[in-house]
Amino acid sequence: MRRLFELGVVPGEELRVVFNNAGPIVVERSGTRIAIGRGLAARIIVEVIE
Amino acid sequence: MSNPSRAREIVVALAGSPNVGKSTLFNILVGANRFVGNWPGKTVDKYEGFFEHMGYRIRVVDLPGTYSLNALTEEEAIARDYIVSEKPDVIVVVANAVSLETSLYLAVQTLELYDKVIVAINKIDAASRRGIHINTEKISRRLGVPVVAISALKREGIHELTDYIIQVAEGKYPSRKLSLDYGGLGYYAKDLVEALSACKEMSRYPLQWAALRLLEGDVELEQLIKKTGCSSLQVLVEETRKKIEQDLGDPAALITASVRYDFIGKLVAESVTYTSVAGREFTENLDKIFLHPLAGPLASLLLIFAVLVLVLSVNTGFPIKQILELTGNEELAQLFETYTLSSILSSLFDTVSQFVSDFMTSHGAPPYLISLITEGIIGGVGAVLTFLPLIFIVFVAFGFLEDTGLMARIATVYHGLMSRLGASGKALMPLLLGFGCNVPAIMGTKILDTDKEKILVSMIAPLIPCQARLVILLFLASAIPATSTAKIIAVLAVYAYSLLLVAVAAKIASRLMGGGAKTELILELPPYHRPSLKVIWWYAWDNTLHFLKKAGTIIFMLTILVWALLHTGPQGYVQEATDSYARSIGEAITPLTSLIGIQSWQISLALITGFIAKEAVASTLIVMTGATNPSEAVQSLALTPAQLASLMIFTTVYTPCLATVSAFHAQFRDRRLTLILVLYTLIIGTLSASLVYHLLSLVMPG
Repeated sequence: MRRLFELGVVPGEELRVVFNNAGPIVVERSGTRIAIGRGLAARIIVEVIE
Repeated sequence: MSNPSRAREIVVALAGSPNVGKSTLFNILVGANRFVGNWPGKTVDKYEGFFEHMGYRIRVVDLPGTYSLNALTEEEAIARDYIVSEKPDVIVVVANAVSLETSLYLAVQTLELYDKVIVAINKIDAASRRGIHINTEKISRRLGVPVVAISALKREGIHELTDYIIQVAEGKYPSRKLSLDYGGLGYYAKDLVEALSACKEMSRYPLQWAALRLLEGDVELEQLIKKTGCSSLQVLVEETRKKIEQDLGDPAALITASVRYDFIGKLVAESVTYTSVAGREFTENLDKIFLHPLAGPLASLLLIFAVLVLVLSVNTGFPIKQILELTGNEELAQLFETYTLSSILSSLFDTVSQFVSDFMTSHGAPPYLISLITEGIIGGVGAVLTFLPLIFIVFVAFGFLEDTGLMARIATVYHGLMSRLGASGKALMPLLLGFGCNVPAIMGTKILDTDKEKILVSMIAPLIPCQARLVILLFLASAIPATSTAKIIAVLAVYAYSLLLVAVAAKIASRLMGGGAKTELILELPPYHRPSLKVIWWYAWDNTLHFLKKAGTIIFMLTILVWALLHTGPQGYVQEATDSYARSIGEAITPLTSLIGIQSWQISLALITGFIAKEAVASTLIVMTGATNPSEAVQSLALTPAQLASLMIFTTVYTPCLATVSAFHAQFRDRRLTLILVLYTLIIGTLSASLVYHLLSLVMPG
């Protein structure tokens, strides 16, 4: 969890989903790509804005 | 080994500017064993804590965050006073990799005052993400003290740092104070030093340093002079300061600061390099392949195999030579092997030792001396040197993968597979390298992020059958009275069994190390970089040197030791191993090897020589049976299929060769861990082989 915060994935932040296939999900936050395991990603609550 | 109640205490002070991650490092080092107090007579909090490492009790004092040691602020005064009066065993100056230049200022100032210093460059992960690459080896050479790249947040490099702390505290690392060339200022300082030596109160400070500080203007030192009544000094200091400004045109403080920054500027220029980051579109397109659910793992695997084949074939011919042989191109395979780096090197060493041997014989040197020099010493040097190109090329390849950003993609797509073993996706790379040779596999664990993972992967990597074990397997399999298909199946079965062991050992080890839970992947994917040749060169060269210095000496000494075992016996120097102490050991352990169904001391002896290099099992057996080729040698031992199978399993699994053990020890320098590696492989090898022997004996008696 803390690692996510360190990489800037914090409440209120906008993320863009780059890949959402089988395997880890890749999101992008202000130009930085982050791979997140499925189990963890499922626990991030998001709101679709676009 | 060591009694914790009598453990030696090492006092470490952490110094660093604000925002370099000093507190993070402090918390990582001491964990919950910390307490807060006050600096005597001050309002600033004093954090202290302790941890234990390799039988040492290490007390960590977190000095207040300061940009310099000028004693301008209370924090600076506390930090400086602590260093001067408490004289800690080691000072770790924490610098920031992202703003190296400013944060090295404190390191330089500390080094002018104190010699037992380690510079820890923190946030190295953030720096490499920005394309900043730092050559710690170069900085270390210039500063004359150890420099370690760490990431306190990700717990990278902490093991290395604690190792250095112990080395410096024990005086095993010759650290020295830094003396910068202040040009003309030095002469004025020298005059002042003489005057200072007359003032008793000043003796707690290094005089050269104090003289310079006084010229720069140092409120605390000036007050000290005033208080102690060395008033003549006060006048002298002021006069000298004026003289300096007249003669040199600038106040001393300006001169010293610019000399320091000049020094740091040059240091940074020669040891830091920047790589450009590839365009967005390029990264996006490449990621579409590398992160694709099907194409991604395939592309990564292809990449890994390309690297492995390249690295290993150039060095040892594996696996191209074997493929050529299997497809019936014997001659081509031979030709290919002749021109691999390791055979070129080994024929070079053969020539040298032949030459030395001839030379010494013609000068009437005693045979034991000839043997010691040509087989022991030249053999030992050769054993180390033949590994160097392999290690170098492995790290060139790793450096390339890391620097381009490809490694992060490999780690992502193989996270799922590797996390089942308690490791990260990156671990696939060193483990696969193990099929060629276990030594670079262990060296390669350097790329892994946490110390725990490095230890875990290095522990299981030696279970992977390397090329040398394949040679032995084929050698033994050739004697199985069966069709060639059955022989190949037997060899494959041993491989399958070893891989099963790797998986089981990884599971157990990660459970033991307290990492039972499956970790979720969170990984930053840096944009693709154009690889910088300079960075790759630094990376490969530093790691090769590290291997040469650390593992090289161990390999060399062990080779000499084994030589002594094989060439001395009850009658003194002996030519043949059959008269040596090694034979006595071989005979002594035969009751043990009978556990795996082997009663002949010749084989026990061969297994002992297998510790030098696994190939030696075959050559020893050939020599001892007086056979002319491998299959004749095994045939003449008249082993049953059950014994052959047992021997195949045992030679594959039992204690890795001395180069692998040396590389492991050089990596972690923890005798306990090395002992665990040696023993657990020996035990599993014995258990597995005896199981196979007894099962097969039941199925096919006789």
